[in-house]
Amino acid sequence: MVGVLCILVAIGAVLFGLRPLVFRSGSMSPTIGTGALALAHRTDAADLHKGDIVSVPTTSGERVTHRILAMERDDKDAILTLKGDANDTPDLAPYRVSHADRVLFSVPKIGYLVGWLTGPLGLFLLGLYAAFLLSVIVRRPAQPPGDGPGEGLAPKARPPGGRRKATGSRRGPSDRVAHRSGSTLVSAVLLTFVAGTVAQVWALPTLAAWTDAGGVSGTTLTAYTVPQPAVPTSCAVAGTAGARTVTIQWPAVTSPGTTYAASLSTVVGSVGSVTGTTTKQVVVTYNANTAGNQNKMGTVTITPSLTATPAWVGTTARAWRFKTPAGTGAPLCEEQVAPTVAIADPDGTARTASAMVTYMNGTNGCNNASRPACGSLSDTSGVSTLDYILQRTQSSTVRCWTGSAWGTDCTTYVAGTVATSTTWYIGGSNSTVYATPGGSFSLTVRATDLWGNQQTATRAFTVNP
Amino acid sequence: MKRKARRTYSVRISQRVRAALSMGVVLSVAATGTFAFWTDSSTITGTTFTGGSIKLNLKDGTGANPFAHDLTGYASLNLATMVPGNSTAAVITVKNAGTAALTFLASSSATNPDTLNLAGALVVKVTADAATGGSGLAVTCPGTAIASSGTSLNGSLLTTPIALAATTTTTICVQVTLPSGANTSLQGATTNATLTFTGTQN
Repeated sequence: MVGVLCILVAIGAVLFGLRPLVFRSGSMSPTIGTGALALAHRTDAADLHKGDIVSVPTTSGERVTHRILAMERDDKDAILTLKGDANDTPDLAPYRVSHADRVLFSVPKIGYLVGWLTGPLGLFLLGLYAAFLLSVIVRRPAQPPGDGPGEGLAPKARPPGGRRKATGSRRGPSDRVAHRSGSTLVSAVLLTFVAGTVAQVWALPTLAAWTDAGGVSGTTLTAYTVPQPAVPTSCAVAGTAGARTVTIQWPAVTSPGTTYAASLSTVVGSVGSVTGTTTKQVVVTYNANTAGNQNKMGTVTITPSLTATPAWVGTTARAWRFKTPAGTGAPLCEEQVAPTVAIADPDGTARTASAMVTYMNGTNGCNNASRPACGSLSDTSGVSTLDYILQRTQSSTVRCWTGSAWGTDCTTYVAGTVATSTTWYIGGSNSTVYATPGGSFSLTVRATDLWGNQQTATRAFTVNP
Repeated sequence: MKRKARRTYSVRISQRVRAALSMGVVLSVAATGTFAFWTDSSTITGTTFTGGSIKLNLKDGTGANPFAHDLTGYASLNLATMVPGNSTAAVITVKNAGTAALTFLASSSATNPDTLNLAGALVVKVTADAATGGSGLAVTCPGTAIASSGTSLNGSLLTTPIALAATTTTTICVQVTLPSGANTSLQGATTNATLTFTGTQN
């Protein structure tokens, strides 16, 4: 009975692709511990699913049995990412398989027995068992009539026929019992070995391998950015009308070694070589007699690149300008200094509407009935424009001065007037700007010089009803 | 008498059949070779059960720094202003702090937050050096690259497992170079790199 079962298991293993697995280590614990014996079934890739526990061969020829963490299908193959239940990280490399042994169930500890059976002592006992079975097979055939072949096989194993018959007739019933209990015992004892044998033959030692991953994180690598050339520290003009020169200098970046190139636009002329080491210098020459070069904004563009890797050009160049006059005179160098600007009046003192108008019209104010604000400014190259936002809040109504009336646009600057090189005012009727009932006022004035440098000034004041 | 004999006979036949069937199991030992492709010959050499576990630890350099499972905020390999030709390198000591032998592999990943893909341009060299060479913007791993080791970030650094017995250590030197032909579009690009050392019980 037991033997038949074993045979069936053995046949099943061959026919249905069943395969025992012995777990040599514990990374699938607690699901499957070290020494467990599992039964696995050969499964095509198409029938594998995430979450299955599968056994696959590794590149080194061993087997690993882990759970499918993720899988991709590629034609008939599957690319499996496996992870042991007890591992923090998945196995290093995915496994590409056309089929895998999917674990059906496992029994703890039995694998140890199988492992022992496959050792020297176990093999010896298995050999004994095989010899014993042979003896059982060949010892029997004497008794039954006509069972000739058996007699010839092992004559020494049988007692003489006469004595055997006599014994049989004398002790028939008990003899049967003895045989049956004997065979049952034999089967029971052998079962262990049979199971072990089956397991030994097909059982594959499998590593439910422990893995442990250590991470090195926090490394930051950044590529260099070729910086915008520094603002020129010096700009000098020289020469005569036929050959005006503009010489500009700027500090160089020396590490990493940086090369600068200069070019000229708008004004037609020549650009000399960039010279110098820690301070770079370039000279631009143009003919001021040429009408096309008069009253122009010439621009010198300085572009940096790495000396060692010329392809690494800075993405932001430095533009430096010079303004040529209407005639043949010397040009004016760009400067980076913003103008200064200040609000003189209103002076910030709270007044009634009528008092404010009187004040502004008088000599203490702007001394003009059409100058609701005025002040001072200055700039090396001269302020080119002045604009402002004058905002009035009455109750919660906000209005802004357009230059001639109260409007609703409070984001656009309104043009004022640069009166002299040092003074400015804004236009409008004082009596309209500061009409009853007044309100809360705020004035922002913005001065812009020839090169676009800007400066603002603000003042807040109150006009009472 | 005859009936008794027949019964006895049937019993003996049955037992013999069983024995024969069981013999089939033993015969199956002979079939082992059929399945040899599974495991070579290891099925009949006894199975080694591995107790204990493995524990892979890392530390920066080879000095007195403490070992840790993970090295976070690892700055030894940092380089802030790489121009083409610059390189950086650092030594990492790998220790098997467990009770079983292991083999380890290494891989790297690197971010590309600015989409400039500096990580893709950097060239990696992995050696077994215990100390770096060079200085400044040209720190290197002076030795010969480990066979089959990776040469770029975002991939395998060690593809051949390195064996590490319990309680022993080994050094890995990682060098990252911005090649001299690196594209100018990489200016200002940044990448954050992570190295992963994965030990596997063997």
